[in-house]
Amino acid sequence: MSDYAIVPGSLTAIAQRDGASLAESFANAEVVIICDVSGSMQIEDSRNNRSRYDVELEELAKLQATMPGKIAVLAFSDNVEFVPGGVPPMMGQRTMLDKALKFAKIADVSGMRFILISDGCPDQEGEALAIAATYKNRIDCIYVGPEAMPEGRDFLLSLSRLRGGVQVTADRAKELCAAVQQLLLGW
Amino acid sequence: MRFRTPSHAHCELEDGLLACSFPYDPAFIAALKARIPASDRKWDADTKRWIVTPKHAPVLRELVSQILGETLILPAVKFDTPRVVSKTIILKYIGQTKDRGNDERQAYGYVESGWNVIFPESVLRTWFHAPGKPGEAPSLYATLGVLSNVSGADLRTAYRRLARQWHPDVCTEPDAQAQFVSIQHAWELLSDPGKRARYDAGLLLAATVPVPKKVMGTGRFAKFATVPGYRPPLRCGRLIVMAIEHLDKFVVTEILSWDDIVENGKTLSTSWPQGATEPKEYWL
Repeated sequence: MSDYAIVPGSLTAIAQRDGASLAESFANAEVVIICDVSGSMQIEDSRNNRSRYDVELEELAKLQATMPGKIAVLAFSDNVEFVPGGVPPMMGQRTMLDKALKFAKIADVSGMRFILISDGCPDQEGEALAIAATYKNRIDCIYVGPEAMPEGRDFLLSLSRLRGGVQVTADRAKELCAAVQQLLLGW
Repeated sequence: MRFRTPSHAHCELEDGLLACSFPYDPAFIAALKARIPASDRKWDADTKRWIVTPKHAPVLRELVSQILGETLILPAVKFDTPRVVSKTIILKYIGQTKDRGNDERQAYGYVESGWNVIFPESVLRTWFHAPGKPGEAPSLYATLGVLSNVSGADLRTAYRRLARQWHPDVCTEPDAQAQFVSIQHAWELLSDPGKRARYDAGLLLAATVPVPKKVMGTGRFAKFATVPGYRPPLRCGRLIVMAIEHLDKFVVTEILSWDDIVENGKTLSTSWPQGATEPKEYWL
């Protein structure tokens, strides 16, 4: 997809619909989803033998269409990007979660929910945990790696517990949309 | 004394400006008007001469050579640093900035003696805290003419001031309704602390997103890019400015203060209805 791809229900789509700015659109957002787009997300072991990334995109699009204007998407690998169009680009490099959490802290305002989607351990575990501990709001985590490799899942569990969040699994990004809804609606 | 149309082009220096007479040629006049911005030239009907700022001397020489087939002898020009003076202006009306062929867009301000005050867009944006990128809508703070760290009380004061000025019941500007709605929307969002905090976060996040090239109008889109001018939130007032005198006009370099014009406890508001020859005044 191009750098400027926009999915229905994304912050950009809502801003365009309403003739508003991105910042005004963000004023109504309730959740920041921090998406891992590191190299391992290109592994083609998800639904219908597609990559975890492709399935993640599909699930995020479904989520934003279900909750229009409520979801802000950040993508991270070596760098972090705010992706108001709702389609995180594949960066395919390292997992710099500490950088992502530092960036996302801009949005750590009263009542904001954070959901981290990742399939593995970050490059700087200690730094990531230290930054997560400074958040005012909870960070829930969704593990999208394979069930057979629990290290990544265990890390996300530790991170989510720092601020009272929870960790769920959406095996290789399948049923990601349902997992997010489960977290938001407390199913 | 009657001045005749000269048979040859001639320029002399008067009070630091070029005073030029040219043989009558419609093509030459059209080219002069197209190449030299209106703010840098003036037709003196009494002496039948064009008064032009010296920086356009090369343009005059080129046009005279190309169109009139003559060689224009220009006086030696000494470029003095223009003197910036402090002025109090009773501004009766200011509209939107426009592209007038200068380095940046300008708005002309209407005072007692006419459209004699020029406001470069950057000067207005600085005063009203509306930096903005080309094509970008002003922030909600800029809509209300305040900084992003404005207190709740000052925010309310700014909102009330503008809401009075732009209310469609008293303001006959063509865009009064749209402006009033924008002001209302800005107030409703910014007066809610939770939404304001998210909006502030949104401003920081949005600043990290690059503007697509098509919006900026680069390459083959450049000549089609039409970016609306800047519309200051206030249309009149008593201003103290720093300005440079330039061809009987004052070009503002900095606004030092902008207060309402108040008489007998009432505040002046002005509009310029379509087709009007002067602003309409309302006392609120």
